Amino acid sequence: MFRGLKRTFERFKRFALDRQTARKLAGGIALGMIIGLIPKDSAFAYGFASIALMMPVSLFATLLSAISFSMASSQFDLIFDPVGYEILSAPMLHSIWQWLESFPISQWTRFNNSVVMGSMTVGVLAVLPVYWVTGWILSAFLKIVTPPQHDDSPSQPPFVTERER
Amino acid sequence: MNRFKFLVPRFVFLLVLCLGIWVSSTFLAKVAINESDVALRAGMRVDDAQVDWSEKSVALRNLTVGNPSGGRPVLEMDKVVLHLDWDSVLGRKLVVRDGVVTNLTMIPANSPKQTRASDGTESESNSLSGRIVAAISQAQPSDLSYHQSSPALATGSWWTHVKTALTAGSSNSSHTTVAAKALQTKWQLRIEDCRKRAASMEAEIVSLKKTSTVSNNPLRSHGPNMQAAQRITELTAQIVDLQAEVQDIQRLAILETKSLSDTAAGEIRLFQTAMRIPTANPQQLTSQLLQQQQLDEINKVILWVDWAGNLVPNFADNPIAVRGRNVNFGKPAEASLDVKKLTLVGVTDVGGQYYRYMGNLSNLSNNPDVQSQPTSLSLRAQGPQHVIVNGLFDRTGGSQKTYLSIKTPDLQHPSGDFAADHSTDSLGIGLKVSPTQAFTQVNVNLEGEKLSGKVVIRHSNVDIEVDSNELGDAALANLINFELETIDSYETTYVLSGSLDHVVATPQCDLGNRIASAMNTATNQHLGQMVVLRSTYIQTLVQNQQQQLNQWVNQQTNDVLALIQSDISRIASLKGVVERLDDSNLRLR
Repeated sequence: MFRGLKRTFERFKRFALDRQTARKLAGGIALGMIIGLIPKDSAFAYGFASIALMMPVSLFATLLSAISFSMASSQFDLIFDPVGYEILSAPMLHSIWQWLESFPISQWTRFNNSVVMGSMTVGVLAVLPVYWVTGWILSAFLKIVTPPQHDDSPSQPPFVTERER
Repeated sequence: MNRFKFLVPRFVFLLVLCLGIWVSSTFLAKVAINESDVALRAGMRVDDAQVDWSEKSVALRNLTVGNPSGGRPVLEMDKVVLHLDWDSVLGRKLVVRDGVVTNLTMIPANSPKQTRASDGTESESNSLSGRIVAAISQAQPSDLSYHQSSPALATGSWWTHVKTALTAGSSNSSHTTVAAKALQTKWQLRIEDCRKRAASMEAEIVSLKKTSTVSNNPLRSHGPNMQAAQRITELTAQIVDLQAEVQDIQRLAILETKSLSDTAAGEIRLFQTAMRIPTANPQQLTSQLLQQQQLDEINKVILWVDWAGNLVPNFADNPIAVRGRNVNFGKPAEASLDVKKLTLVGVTDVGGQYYRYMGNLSNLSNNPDVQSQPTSLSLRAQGPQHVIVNGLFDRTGGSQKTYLSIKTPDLQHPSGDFAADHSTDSLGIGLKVSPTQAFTQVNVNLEGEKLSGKVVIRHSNVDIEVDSNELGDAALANLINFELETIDSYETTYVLSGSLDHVVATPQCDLGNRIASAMNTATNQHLGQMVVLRSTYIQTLVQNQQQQLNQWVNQQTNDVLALIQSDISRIASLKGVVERLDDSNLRLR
C-alpha cells in the first residue's frame, strides 16, 4: 500500500516538475493569482488567461493557482473595493476611463467595477513579488525533492531554463 | 525558433477550445440561460436551447421565467424563438429585435393574501382579480349624486300608493251610492212616519165627523161638542206641525244631497291628487338591481387582470447583487436585456376557460428604470367571449405604474328577475330583465400599492317587462311595458379604489333612472287619463243620484203634503159641522 502511494507521488512529481523549472512554476502561479483574483464576469480574467497561454509558464501551476485564488478572492473584497474605487474616482484618470468606456467591448471588462479594478491592480502589483517569492521557495523545495544529477557540476543560478541547462 | 515551440500545442489547445465552444453552443446557451439569474434579473430555466448562427436566432423550449417562491406566478412558455441583435452582444447587451412566444401559461403563486371586506370579515384571495371580484360582490351603492333627484315616497312603495289611490277612486262611486241610499232610507222612514200620522189624523177626523152628525138632545148633549171642538183644535195644531216637518224634510233633503255631492267632489279631488304623487325612486331601484345583478361572467373577465398584470416580470424582485461598486463615467445606464417586440401566440387557460390569443409585448427590459418607453401589451383572445387586453407597464424613472384595460364586446349577461319587494323597492312591482349582451371594460390603474379604476358594463338589447298579473291592470301593464321598451341599454359601473391588498368598489347604475323615467311618463299619462275618466264618471253618478233623490223626496213629501192638505180640509169641514151643531143647540135652548 505504501509502495503504491509512493509510486503515485513519484508520478505526480514527475508530471508536475519534470521539464519544469521553478521559474516556470512561479510564473504560472503569479499569473494564476491574477486570473483567480479578478471576478470571472470580467473579460480581464480571460485576457490574462490568454496571456498565460502565450507565456512559457506552467499551465498546470496557472490552473491550480487560478482555482485557489478564485475561491479566496471574495475574502479580499474589503481590500479590492476601496483600492479600485480610489483608482476609478481619481480625477486625473477620469478622461482615460471615459475614453475606455466609449468602446462597446469595454462593457465585457467591467473595468468600472471597484472590485474588478482593485483586484486587477493588486494582482498586477503583486505579480512580481509573488513571482520572486514563489520562485525562491520552489527552487529551495526542488533542491530538497530533486537529488543533484552531477555533483561536480558548477552551481547553477536558482532559475534555470531548459535551454540554459 | 525553439524558443516559441511551446506555443504550438497551446494554439492547438485554444483552437480546440474555440471549436468546442462553437459545437457545444446549444449546451452552453442552455447553461447560460439557466445561470442567468443575476445578469437578466429573472429566474429562467430552459429544457432545450438551439442557436442558429445563420439566422442569428435562439430557439428555446419549455422556458420558465420567475421564481415560484417569489410570490408571483411562474410563466411557462412552450417555445420561444428570439431574433437577436448580435452587434449589441459586443456591448454586453442582449437585444431581441423580435421574437415569438408560443403557448404562454401562468402557474399561480402559492402566496395567498387576506382580503378585508367592507363588513370587516376577511376572505382569502391570492390574486388581484380575486380581490376585485370580492369588492364588487360586496359593493353597496353610495353615490347619490349619480342618480336623478326625485321626491322619495314617505312610506311604502310607489305601487302601494298607486293601488291605494286606485282603490280609493273606485270606491268613491260606491261610497256615494251607499250614502245616497242611506239618506233615502232615513228620509223614507221620516216620510212614512209623517204619512202614518196624517192617515191616523184622517181616521180620527172621520170618526169625529160621524159622532158630530148623530142627532141628540141639544139640551143634554152640549159636552160632546165641546170635546170635539177641543180635539179639532189639537188636530189642527198637529197637522200644522206635520206640515212643517214634511217641509223640513224637503229642505234637509236638498241640503244633504248637496252635501253628498260636495263630499264626492272632495274625494275626487283627493283621488286626483293621490294619482299624481307616484314617483319611482331610482336610487332604491338601483340598489335592488345591483344586489340582484349576476356577476359570474364579469368575474371571468376580471381574471384577465391577473393574466395581463403578471405577464411582465417584476425585475425589481431580483435586484442585481454585484461585488463592489460600479462607477459611472457619464454613460447612460442601459439594460442588459432589451426585448423590442415579442409576439405572443397560443392557447391559454384563464379561469378554467381556454382562449386562443395573439398579441404583442413591446419594450420589455430587465432594467425598466432606464427605459425610454414603457412596456406595452396588446392582445386579442377568443374563447367563450372575445377579449381585448391592453396594458402599459411604466417603470421608467423609478415609477411603478401599471395601466390595464380589458374589454369584452360580446359578454353574455344572464337574465334577472327583480321581484316585488315593498320594503326596499320603491316601485313595488316585479320586473323581468331579459338576458343581455354586455360590453364590459375593466380598467385597473396601479401606482405602487395604490389602486384605482373601474368596471363598466354596458348592457344592450335589454328587454324589461313588468309583471301584469301583479299589477292587476292589463292596460297599465301594457302601457308601462310599451314605455319600458324604450330602454334598450343600461350601464353599470363599479368604481374601484383602495390598494392592492384592499380593494373597494362603489357601484353606479343608470337602469333605476331609466325605469323611473319610463314609469313616470307612462304611468302619469295613463293615470291622468284614468283620473279624468273616473272623475267624470263619479261626478255624473253623483249628479244623477242627487237628482233622483231630490225627485224622490219631492214626490214622497208631496204625497204626504197632499194627504195633510186633505186632512186640513176635513178638519176645516169638521170644524164647520161642530160650529153649526153648537149654533143649533144654542137656538134650541
